[in-house]
Amino acid sequence: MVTKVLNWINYRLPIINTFERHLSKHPVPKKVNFWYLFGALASIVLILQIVTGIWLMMPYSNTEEGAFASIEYIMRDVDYGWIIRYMHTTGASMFFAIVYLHMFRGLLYGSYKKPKELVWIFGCTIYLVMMAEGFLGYVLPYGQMSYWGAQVIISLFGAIPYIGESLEVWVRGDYYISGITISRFFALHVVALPLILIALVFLHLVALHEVGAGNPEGVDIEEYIDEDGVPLDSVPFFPYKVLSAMPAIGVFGLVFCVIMFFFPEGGGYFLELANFEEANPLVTPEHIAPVWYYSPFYTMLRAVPDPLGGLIVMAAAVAILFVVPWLDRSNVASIRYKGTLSKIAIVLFVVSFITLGYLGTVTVTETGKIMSVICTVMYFAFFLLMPIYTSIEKTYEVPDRL
Amino acid sequence: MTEITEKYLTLRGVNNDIYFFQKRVSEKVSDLIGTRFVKVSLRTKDLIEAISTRDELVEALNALENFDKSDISDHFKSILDRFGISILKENKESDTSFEPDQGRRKVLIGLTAGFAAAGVAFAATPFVTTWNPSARAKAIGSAVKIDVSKMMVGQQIQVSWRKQPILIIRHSQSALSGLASVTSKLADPNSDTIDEPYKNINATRSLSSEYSVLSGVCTHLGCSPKYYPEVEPKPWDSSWKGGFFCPCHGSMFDLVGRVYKGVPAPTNLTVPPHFFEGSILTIGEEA
Repeated sequence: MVTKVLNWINYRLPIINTFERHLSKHPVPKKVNFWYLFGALASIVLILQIVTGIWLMMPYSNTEEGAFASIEYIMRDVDYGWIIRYMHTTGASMFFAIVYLHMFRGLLYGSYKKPKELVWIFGCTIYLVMMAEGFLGYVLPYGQMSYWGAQVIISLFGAIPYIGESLEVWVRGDYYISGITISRFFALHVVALPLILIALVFLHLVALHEVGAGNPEGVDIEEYIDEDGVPLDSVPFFPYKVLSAMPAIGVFGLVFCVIMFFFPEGGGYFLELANFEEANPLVTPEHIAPVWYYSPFYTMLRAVPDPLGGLIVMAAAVAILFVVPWLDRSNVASIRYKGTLSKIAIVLFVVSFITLGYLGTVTVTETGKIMSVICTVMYFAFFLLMPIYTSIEKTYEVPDRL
Repeated sequence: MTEITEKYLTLRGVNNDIYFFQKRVSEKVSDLIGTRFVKVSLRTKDLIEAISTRDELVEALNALENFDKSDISDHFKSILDRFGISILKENKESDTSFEPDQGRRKVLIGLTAGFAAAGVAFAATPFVTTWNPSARAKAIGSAVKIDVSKMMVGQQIQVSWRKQPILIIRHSQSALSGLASVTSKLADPNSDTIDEPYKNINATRSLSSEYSVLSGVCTHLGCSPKYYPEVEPKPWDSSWKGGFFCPCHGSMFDLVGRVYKGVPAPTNLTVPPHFFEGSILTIGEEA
């Protein structure tokens, strides 16, 4: 009976074919490591964010007077409201953690190499939209850090010559971050950007399935194919990949729950303590720090004394990710077969990125200022010198088979 | 039957004993031969022979990849031809009488696109302008009045205009005369780089000789600098002469809001439009 119904539908709408092509029978490289899990985890967290987000919208009030109070109302009066909210806030931090690891995997194993350039570019765009989405969401509770964080970010528009100041007023819709600003950020956070995000994820996956998933060896598995054109070194997505990912998903769920139940504030890094106070446009908190996931870019902003220069550096730091496929001139994809220079470069890159992240969360000091300039230079050097060190170094021979 | 693991080779045929050649080709090659996936029978059961034929085929396909179409030798053409792979002819001769007038088409497309763009611009107007401050927001953002006679000497108070902190400081005579001692540390002591509204009237930068009226919005990224009037060593400056310190990014200003050298803030704190009527200060309006 079920088969009959399915066949009836499939004749009119290719659900079975699509399901087999993109999920159950989709061939994926047989040997991959844990780095290849984060894409799947990211899609799980995306769904979680959408569901908890819808539920949070119901009791939330997007007004200047009501926003902060409605968050307290969710936390105290709504049955299990606290768990929905902490799921959403923990989800946001986890989403970024996963996406950072996912992107690092891409850099490690050359997941942007021809013909995967578009997969990489869609991925970078997703990251960009996520940064905007996270920022808008952080403003909604209208706490002190929401207000002053937004104040800093919106002032960035003011650094643009000529149109800056009027652009600032236009973005806020008022002379300060008021209820008007909150309600428009709310609309963008819950409708506009999620729609764009879902569309981008769809494109990311379609492009990926067209060119095939990569592997840690950087081997092109399509060189050896069986009679049906299926790569010999591949296995169908179901059951092999689905079942083997289950334990990892379980571990992730456990970590997620531990954070959500015991450390939802993440020591002030996931939810900043100043945000438990209602926004006060007349009092700046003693120490303004962004949430951890923006921290490296915030440090770059601070490293440049001129606001416009800082804005340009920060924008360039994200923009440069988009052109990585054309910066890497290596004839191999994976770091395993790249030369020593690439290996040193990626280690220095990780060190500089983490240091930048740390510096963004602490108060400015003299040493910190110098460190942040050095690390910003290192960050850019990793990308800008890539065409040189990837082309002069000696690479190792990639095996034929996985 | 042994499993073959030779590149591009696979066994097919009724008895699964005939060698076939299978390979995906690049976009350039596929444009030439009309397929992205080459799959041909090598018509042999012998592995050695299959390997050598395969090598010939790979060589021929590489030639297609690396050379112009006209430079391909007949040798490679014949190899490909032997396996039914033919190089497509470009620019098929077609009847030119039905050729559309491309110039006319371009003009029409251009005109249509132009009108469409104008339409989009008109349609976008309400979407863009609803983001401007509303009439209510503008009304709330009008001028504020305050009586400053109750302030103590050295005291700083803060009032809100457009929800912007406006700092009002009543300076002591000694503080005003001490301003000169920090001039050498300042980036722009005479406010030359900004549009200073009441320039060279008073040392306070305002319309009063005793009070300073400053926007409490850091010119770096809009935080609110804090008032530290004490003349004593501070963590950010061991020879602090009193002034404002921004907690966000460490910008320093003197007691009348002039910025120090070498800090993130590019310019002095701005002075909002204001006027005094006796002890009543109006902020947000000129007299």
